[in-house]
Amino acid sequence: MNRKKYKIGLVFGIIITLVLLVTVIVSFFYLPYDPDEMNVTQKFQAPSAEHWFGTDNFGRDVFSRTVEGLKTTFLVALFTVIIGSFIGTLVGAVTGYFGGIIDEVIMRINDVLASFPSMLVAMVMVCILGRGPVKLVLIMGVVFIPSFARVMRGEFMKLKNRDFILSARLIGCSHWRIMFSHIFPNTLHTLLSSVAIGFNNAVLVEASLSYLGIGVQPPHASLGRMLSEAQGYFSYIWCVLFPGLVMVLMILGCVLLSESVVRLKRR
Amino acid sequence: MLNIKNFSMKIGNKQIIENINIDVNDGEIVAIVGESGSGKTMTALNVVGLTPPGTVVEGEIMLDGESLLERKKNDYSVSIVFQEPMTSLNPLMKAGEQIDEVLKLHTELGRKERYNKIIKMLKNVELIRAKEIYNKYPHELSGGMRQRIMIAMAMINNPKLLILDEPTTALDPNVQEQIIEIIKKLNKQEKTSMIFISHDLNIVKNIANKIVVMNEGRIVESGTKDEVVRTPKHEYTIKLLNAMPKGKKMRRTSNDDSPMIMISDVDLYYYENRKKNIYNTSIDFNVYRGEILGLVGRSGAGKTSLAKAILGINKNYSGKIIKNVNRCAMVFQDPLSSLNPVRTIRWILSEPLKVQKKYTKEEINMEIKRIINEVGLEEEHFDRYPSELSGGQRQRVCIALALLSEAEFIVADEPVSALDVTVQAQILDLLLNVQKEYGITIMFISHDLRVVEKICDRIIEI
Repeated sequence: MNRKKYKIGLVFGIIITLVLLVTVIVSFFYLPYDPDEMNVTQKFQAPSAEHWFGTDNFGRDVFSRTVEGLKTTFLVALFTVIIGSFIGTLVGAVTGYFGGIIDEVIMRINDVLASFPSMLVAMVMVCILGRGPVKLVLIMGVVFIPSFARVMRGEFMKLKNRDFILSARLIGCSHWRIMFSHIFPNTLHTLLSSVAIGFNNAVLVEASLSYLGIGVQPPHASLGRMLSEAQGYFSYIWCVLFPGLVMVLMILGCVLLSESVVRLKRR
Repeated sequence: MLNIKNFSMKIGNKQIIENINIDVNDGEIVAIVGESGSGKTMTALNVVGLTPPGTVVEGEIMLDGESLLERKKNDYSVSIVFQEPMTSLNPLMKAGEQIDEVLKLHTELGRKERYNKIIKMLKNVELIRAKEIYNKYPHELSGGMRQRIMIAMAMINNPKLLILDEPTTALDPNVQEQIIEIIKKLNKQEKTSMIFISHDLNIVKNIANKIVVMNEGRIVESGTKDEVVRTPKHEYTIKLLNAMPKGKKMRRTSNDDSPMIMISDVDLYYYENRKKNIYNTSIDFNVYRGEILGLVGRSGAGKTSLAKAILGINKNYSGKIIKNVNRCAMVFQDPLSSLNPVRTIRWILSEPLKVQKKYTKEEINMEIKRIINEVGLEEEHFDRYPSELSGGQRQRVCIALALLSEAEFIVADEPVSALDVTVQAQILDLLLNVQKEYGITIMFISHDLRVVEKICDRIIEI
């Protein structure tokens, strides 16, 4: 019964994610309008056949901007979790597997990093290092390392004492090989769900930073940036509705996909 | 009292139980014996009404003339005790509170009365320091104690029928005996009818009035204890009886060569809150090349820890361990956790050869094919995952792994105690063959003296 529920979830997750993914890929080659091109004569037009999502206060096409924003947010979140999970897994693997003094030292540093809200750390680092998409990704990636490290450390600690790992040690496998060839594949469930959660958090952090004006800079579009720009014009609901909706869809698709895969694999 | 009449059960298209008839009279203990998959546990689950979803049943199960198949779920005239007391108890609740839960649900007794009743029941299952035990959490109790708690919980409401599903399988032999005595006593005292499920005819012999032998969902033989044990008619019963290891068979004492492993004055300890707790001292013995050495001892004596210390994967010991051996391997008790669950058998078996970095892909394939036949598996098993093999097959993979890593010394840590008796005999035979053919030295750890005596040349107790 439950299985069926998760199967439906999986199908919806795949559909939503796939549609958004295809949109992002297509947007590299084609957009109906230039997302940054202003046209004052056409501002605040309601959605129509010409402008699917209407136009905003500068007469820019909201559809093109939403797609462009989706692309930005998607890529920022994607690279953030890639950096975060890659380094986080490395840190977690080493600390969890070896334990002892290395574990103590690295995890205390990790605790210090994790004890600040990720938004706050990201804001401070943006102020110090400056703005720009690449810097943003790097900063957010670093901010996301501790959570991945903690989860992966737990997994490695749990698995390193299992009988099959002991037997790998007796066979003569190197530590490196045991860590990544024997233990790592067993952590994929957990890693997948933390990547999904991390991705969603990254979407929200990017949106929040851009909303606060320290993330992606104008005229560049990002979903958070668009929400922030549209907040003065709430009566033109399409300027807020569509970017918001796309953000919700992106998170929903990701959650459905990862949750269903994890649940279906487990049983 | 309990009548199971023409009872059949299907899950999906799979016939689990086929047309069985079992009668249990008042105050009687009926044993159901068979290997795993014989349908003995499923029969029990049907009696308590805990069948898995998707079950189709036919026939009747009557308790004192009332059909159990149509009753409401909250009936407590039948209780059950499962094999593994650790997983059946809630780890976050004190032992006494868990028994209390049963009383709260099914009786109107007040706090004081319930407490007194529980203490009395705990004393009845021979937990002498009942008041102390009431406040203990499951992990603070030994396996035997936990199983007594389970029995107390099952008996507290004076059920008409108590089902015991392999209640002693996970326990040491002397603890096993104690539990059997308690069950016998309760049976006499309370006149409770019981169904005792086991794969071990040896245990069943001591307790049952009647024995029912099941195989592949059918009853192949049933009768009084003496009929079944003394004059078995069906060949399957004979097979079960023969599979029981019996008799001493000391073959040879060790060679007079210099010892392969010398263990002198070893103390084993563990840390608790950074305090050193020594739990076994002055262990002293040698292992000689080519022998099968039995290592026995009570649970908690550190048999496994000592073995791991010898293999170099446990550092919590003091004293001297000198090894004249290149490569060691270990066959573990729980065959599921000893194989990487996310890798195929082919990958697992290739690993020791890949690590040595001197074989080509073809050589590796040839070699694992040769070895897998040697341990009695087929090439079709290559692309399966450990969870898709049976317990015996997984143990064969572990032995293959030891051979492939060219181990000279194998520690077999309770390698057969999780297996059915007939499979046990096969795995022991395989170990003996491997030992003979490759001249491997084996240290065999077990709590089952009958098994140890059957295959070991020499026995050390720690």
